[in-house]
Amino acid sequence: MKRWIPFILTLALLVPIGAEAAIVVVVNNANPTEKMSERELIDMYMGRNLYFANGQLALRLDHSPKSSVRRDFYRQLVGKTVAQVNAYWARLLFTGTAAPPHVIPDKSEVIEAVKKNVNAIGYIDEADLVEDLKVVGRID
Amino acid sequence: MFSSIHTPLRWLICGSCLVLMAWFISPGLVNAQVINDNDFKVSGFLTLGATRGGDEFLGFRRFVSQEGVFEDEWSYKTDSVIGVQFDKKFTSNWAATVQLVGRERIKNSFKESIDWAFLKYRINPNLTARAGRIGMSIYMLSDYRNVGFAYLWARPPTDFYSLIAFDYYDGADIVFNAPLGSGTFKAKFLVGSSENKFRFNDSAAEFKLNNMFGASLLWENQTWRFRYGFLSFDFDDSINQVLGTDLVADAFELADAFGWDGADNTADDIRAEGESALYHALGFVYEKLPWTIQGEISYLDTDYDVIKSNITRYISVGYIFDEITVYGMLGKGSQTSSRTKLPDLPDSLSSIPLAVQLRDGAQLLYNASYADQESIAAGARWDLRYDIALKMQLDHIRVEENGTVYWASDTLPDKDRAINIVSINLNYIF
Repeated sequence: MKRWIPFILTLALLVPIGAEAAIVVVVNNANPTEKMSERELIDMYMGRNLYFANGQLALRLDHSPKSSVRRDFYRQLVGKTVAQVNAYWARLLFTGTAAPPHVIPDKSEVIEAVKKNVNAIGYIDEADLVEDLKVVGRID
Repeated sequence: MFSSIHTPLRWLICGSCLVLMAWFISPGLVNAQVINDNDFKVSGFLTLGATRGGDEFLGFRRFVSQEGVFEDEWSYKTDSVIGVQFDKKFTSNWAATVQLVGRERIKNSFKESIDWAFLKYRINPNLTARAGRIGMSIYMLSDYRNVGFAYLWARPPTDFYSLIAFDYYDGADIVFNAPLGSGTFKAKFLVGSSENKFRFNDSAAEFKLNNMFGASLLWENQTWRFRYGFLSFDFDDSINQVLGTDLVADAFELADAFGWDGADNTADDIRAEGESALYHALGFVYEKLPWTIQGEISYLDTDYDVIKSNITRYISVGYIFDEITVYGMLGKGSQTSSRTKLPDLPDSLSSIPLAVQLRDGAQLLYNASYADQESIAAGARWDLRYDIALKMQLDHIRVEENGTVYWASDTLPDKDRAINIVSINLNYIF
């Protein structure tokens, strides 16, 4: 039994770390934006301001509606469930106000899309962060 | 053969085909190529609803332009709606939107189904102008009252929304938006005219509103949303032919000449000439897990004796248990002044059948356009998937004698009624 203890301890340590991983908001390296406040992120992802500070129209990227990173992102950023956010977007879309972010089903493709589009903005699990991306915000 | 199918059903079939087409055409999920944001987008919404309610006299309806559902009937037409929206972005400043909506109407044609068709120009990030056929944007559910997925209930609260039969107008608006405090402020100004077909005496009657102008002020943050809107408009004089009031008024003038003192005053009251109205709506939404609370109050201010000033309101409280939200709602719609009761005929005329008919007919006009009801509702919304919601709702509505403008009816009841409505519907967006 004793020989299992280190293994169990390691697991016990790993699980909470996995669950509490932060989400980072990333843009293309060529984007002059350095930092975005929580307010700016809310405005951008809730369709209230679709422009970066330099006046460039943002290409907002979103994950699959079933993904856990999307669930956590909206829960932490605006305190809403994915269903509530979807109902919100239904309202905005069908009032002709703004369209929801582009959905990219595969999380690695989100990273690729940010790299390939100068005006893109996306969010990813901090654990998935790679080079060539600029972190402009962090949501714990 | 196709024409023998009920129009709404035909719409559903056409709609379903459009949904399938949209499914194939729509880029929907994009891949990681360089993404061109000037897309052509197709999106849509669908509600399949079953509604049971009404009694032997009063038929329940979601809009005053609909047929009613009477006692022991189930209707799939009352709440079923399909809409398809096409958005095309030409440049980062120019865009166009067309929205087609299929639902039960007194008259259904392609022309009636175009809810929106407008061009949008973004003057700068704070200022946007639109022109064309635009959704009415005065109240909280402005231009998404057909999108069941976007709200909590089986249908927009009827005490407040069923009397608003003008979903869109032809004209222009300009919207200013800017951050304010912890939220965003939006001000909208609109001008235009609107027309819609109502069910009146079982035929399609066209109502028009002219010289419309209005404004709405909105402030929202993550938790709160406040909205005030007003709309000023003139009833088109054709309302006289629609209601048949010009004939009735002429007859009253004649009756005055035949010795019915005061009948000419009634003629003036009934005849619509340059009648105008002012509509105000004030509302709020509070949304913070696990609560979702929403309320609205409206005041229609009119000098026209047949369509009296009224106040409508509702309050809804919902509690969110993850995918399931349960809610309760109270609503009321009533006139601000009591129903007009015409004086009895003078003795000299009371034995003349034509005069009796005239008086009773005019009284019926007043009765049928009078609103006085209260409702209580409870229901649940279940978000089955990120794009599908199932709703169930029970309404209990108490209708005062003659306060029946919300209802379809051939024979007005002679006492108060209490009516239950059962609704089940499935809402989908794509």
